[in-house]
Formats: sequence, structure tokens, C-alpha cells
Amino acid sequence: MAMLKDITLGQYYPADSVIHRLDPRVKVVVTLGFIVSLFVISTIPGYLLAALFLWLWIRLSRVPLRFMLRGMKSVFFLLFMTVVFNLFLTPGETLISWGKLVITKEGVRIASLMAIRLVFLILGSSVMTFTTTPTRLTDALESLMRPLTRLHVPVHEIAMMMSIALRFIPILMEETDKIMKAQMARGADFESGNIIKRAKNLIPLLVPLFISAFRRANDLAMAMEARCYHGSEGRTRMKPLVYARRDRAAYLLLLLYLVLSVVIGRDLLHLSSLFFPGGGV
Amino acid sequence: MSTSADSSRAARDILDARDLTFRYVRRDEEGQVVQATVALDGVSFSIRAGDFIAIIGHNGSGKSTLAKHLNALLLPDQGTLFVDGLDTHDAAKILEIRRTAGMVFQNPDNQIIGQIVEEDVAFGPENLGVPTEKILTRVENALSRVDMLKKRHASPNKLSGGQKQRVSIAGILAMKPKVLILDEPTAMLDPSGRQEVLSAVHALNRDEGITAILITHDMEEAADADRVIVMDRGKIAMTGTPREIFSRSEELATLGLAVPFPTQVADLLGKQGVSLPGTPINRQELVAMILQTASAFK
Repeated sequence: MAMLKDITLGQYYPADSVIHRLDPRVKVVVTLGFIVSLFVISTIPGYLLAALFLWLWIRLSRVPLRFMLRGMKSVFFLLFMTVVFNLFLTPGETLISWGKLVITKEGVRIASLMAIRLVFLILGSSVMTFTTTPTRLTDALESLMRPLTRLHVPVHEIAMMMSIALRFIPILMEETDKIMKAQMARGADFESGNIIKRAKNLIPLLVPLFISAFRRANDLAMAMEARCYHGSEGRTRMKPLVYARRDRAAYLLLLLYLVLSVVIGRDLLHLSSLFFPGGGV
Repeated sequence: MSTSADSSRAARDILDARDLTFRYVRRDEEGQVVQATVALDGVSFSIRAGDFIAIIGHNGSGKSTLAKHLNALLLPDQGTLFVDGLDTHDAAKILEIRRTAGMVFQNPDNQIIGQIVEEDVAFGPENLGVPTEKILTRVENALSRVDMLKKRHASPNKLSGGQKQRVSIAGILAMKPKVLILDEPTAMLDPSGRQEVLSAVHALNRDEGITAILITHDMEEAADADRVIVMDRGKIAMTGTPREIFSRSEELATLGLAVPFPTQVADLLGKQGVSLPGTPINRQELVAMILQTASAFK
């Protein structure tokens, strides 16, 4: 628990790369575009294109691949389950049968597609979190969601809450640690018993934590008011987000990639016949 | 100590309080008053620009409530308060009042908003709508005045308590205030952090003429002020220079307050029949007076 506060949020990897310098809004849009493309693509050349794009995206970010793969560990189980279920439960032409277990041709196809999609999706979006600080990410979201203010969505307030939450996570973690130790010193037991008992044992931890969080919130609100905070109206920024040439170039590249991924990925030019003369994947 | 409405005086006085009264009211669900605590009871004073004022008093004496009035976080139920000539009741002037009289709170963690030091210092100017190209210079200037410029890219979580409080002060300085109100800024700090913060505040007061209002429990901190205001049960009980206040130790004792340690030593020596030539309020004075007395004995 003592190490909790050392966890870096959003797993930012400091480095000096083109991707790091890109406007955070570009990175959010590119990530979303890439994710959408993965669900549009359904041909092998299309996946090769996506792989090329992803390779470029990762290489340019200068984040070591092993860092990226470490992030994959946590989703490995999900990946494994997806593959297993798709492999055995897709009906179709039998490839291998093993008593009641049947692997179909369609099963293999869908399982590998899902695996590739998931891996690409996670790698693609982790480039964004590896190269963008949480603050810049919140700024980007505030800016990208600004049109929603017309629909009375409190965009600035949501962004402010997000950044305050990020600021207070390490503080509250430290506090949790302190309260836990204080309660353990009074004989509280957080480790034994079944799951329900353990959940109940958390009450002496959660109650003081909540009280303290409310007190902090109250103090912070007062401090913000004392520093003339009055919402987004008339507010300026020290470092406003400004698009540079490289950002426009990145948008162009994304557009090119999206067009190609529809053309190739949807097989509009019937390229798959080159790979599978028999017709289709 | 003046309540005069004389205009030439008001121009010189940066803070001018007349008969401030404030109650904390607790209501039940129907809006009926359950309990009302009088926190300020007819408080009047005026403070000249450039002074260093310490406000002391035991818990619940109303000193924090008074501090919150000084930058319009609370408005008096009765009476008026002028901050640099602006009435705190005037809702249209509230940002200007808060900009003029900046406030630093006790808990360093609960007043830092930014995730990076310089971002936090920029929060005030951003709220005031200062043009982007000027914010960075203000931030750099404010951080260098509290000697925190080299930590500008650090996360506040990695700073010591004293450093965090200096960042908080920089956050106020970036708004270019005339008055710095500090509500027990050292209460949660270790002795070296205390020293860091106090010397930063004293330097700002001495070199730049920023009026400082220090609310404190620590009598030795109060001894370094130009003037001390002693609060008791919502009223001003005593006011004067630290020497005047601390030479009335019996009176202070009835208010639940002690005198600074060097003054206590002098009192104890007096009871032993060794009377010093004056009332020492800090260590240097005490040492000098003891040496002077000792040489007279030889």
C-alpha cells in the first residue's frame, strides 16, 4: 500500500518524440479513427494496412515496445477468453472435431480477427496514454467536446472535475494508506474472511475516507473561489491548445489512412482475389 | 485602530472594517434556526498599506472568520468592510477584491489545483482572464519571488510542505495582490518549512510593500509583526505593537494565550529577582538583555 502513491496515472512515458509533441486533440482523434477503422476492415490486406499504420504510430512515439506489451498483460485473460469462445462456439464447416468440441473454419477466422482487433485496439490507444499527460488529455477532451456546450452539457465543469480528480487521486491514496494503518493499529482486519466479510470490514476504512474527502472538497472549493474561479466565462489559458503544421499533417495522414482502410478493408477493389483466388476470406 | 470615515484616511488604509458582525447559523430541514453562533461581534479596525499584522487568539475566537471576510469569502451580517476602497458587499467588485486581497490557507494539499507547479500558479491569472502571452511571465515572476522557479515543472505531490505553501503564495502573487492574508499557513509544517514560508512572507512585505495579515497560533511568529491584533470571542480584545501586547502577559493569560518563549524566560527571571531592562520578544533581544544584566552584576 505504501507504494500506491508512486503509481503514475495514465502510464505517461516521458520521451521527446513527434507523437509526444502532437496536439493532444490530434492524438484523441487519431486513436478514435484507428479504432473505428479496425471495425470497418474485414480483409487481410486491410489488416496489413492497419498493422503498417500501427507500426508507424508506435515507432514514431519512441515508446519501447516492451512497455506497450506490459500493458497487454492485464487484458490477456479477456483476449484468451474471446479467442476460446469464438474458436469453439462458431457454427460452420468443421475443421477439427474432438468429441463434442468442434473447431470450425469460421471459428478460426472470427477468433483470429477478434484477437487481431483487440490487440491492435489496445496497442493503438495505449500510444495515446503513453505520450500524453493526463492534463493535456483533459484539455483535449474539453476542447473537442466544446460544441456540446450548445446542448447545455457542462463541458468545462466536467473537464475541471476530471483534472481535480486526477490531482487528488495520489493524495487520497496516501490517505487511504494512513487510515488503513490507523485502523489496523486498532485491531481492524482487512485481509481475512470471505469476500462479503472483507467488504464489510472495509467500512471503517471508507467512512473516514469519505468524510475527509468531503472536507478536502470543501477546502478546495473555498481556495478556488479565493483565487477568483468563476467558471469558464472570461477564462484564459496559460498554454492554450494551438494546432501546428505537424498536427495538420497528422490529420491528413489519418484521413488518407481512413479512406484506404475503407477501400482496401472493405475490398472495394477486389484485391483479395490476389490472395485467395478461390474467392473471399 | 480607527473607525473614522474620514476619506483621506480611507485612502491610506488598505483594509477598513467598521463594526463587522457575523453569525454562523445552523438550520433544520424546515429552515428554522437551530443554533446561531456569533463569530464576529462588532469588530472595527483599519490597516495601513505595507504593514505586517499578526492576528492571534485561541480556537473559536473568530480569527479565521475574520480572515475569510477580508477577501469576501464571507460577507458580514452587519457592518461594512472596505478592501482598498472597495465594499465587500458590492457583488460586482468581488473578483477585484479577491485579486487585491489574496488568501493562503492552512492545508497546502487542499489549495493546490494544478497537477504541475506552474499550472497551479497560472490558475488565478487564468480565472482573471489575463491574456495568454502575459500569464507565463507572471507565473515565472511569482515563482522566482518565493524561490520556487526551479521546481516549476514538478508535481505538487513531490514537494515538501514548506515548498507547497510557497507555491500557494506564488499562486496568489501571480494575481498581483496588495494584501496577502495567511490563515495559519505554518500550522501543518515542520520547523524548517515554517521558517521558509515566514521568511518568504517577510521578504514580500519588506521588499515589495505587500501588506501581510498573518493569522497564527505561534506567538513567536506574531512577535515579528508590526502590529498584533488579539481576538477573543468575536471581539478585538487587544491591539498594539508586539512589545505592548506581550508585556501584558497576565491579561493574555486570561484570554488563554501565552507570551513568546523569550518573554516567558524574562518573566521567570523576574520572579527569581533578576529583572531585565525591558520585555524581550525574540531570542536575540533576550540574549542581549541577559548579557547586559550579567555584565552589570560583575
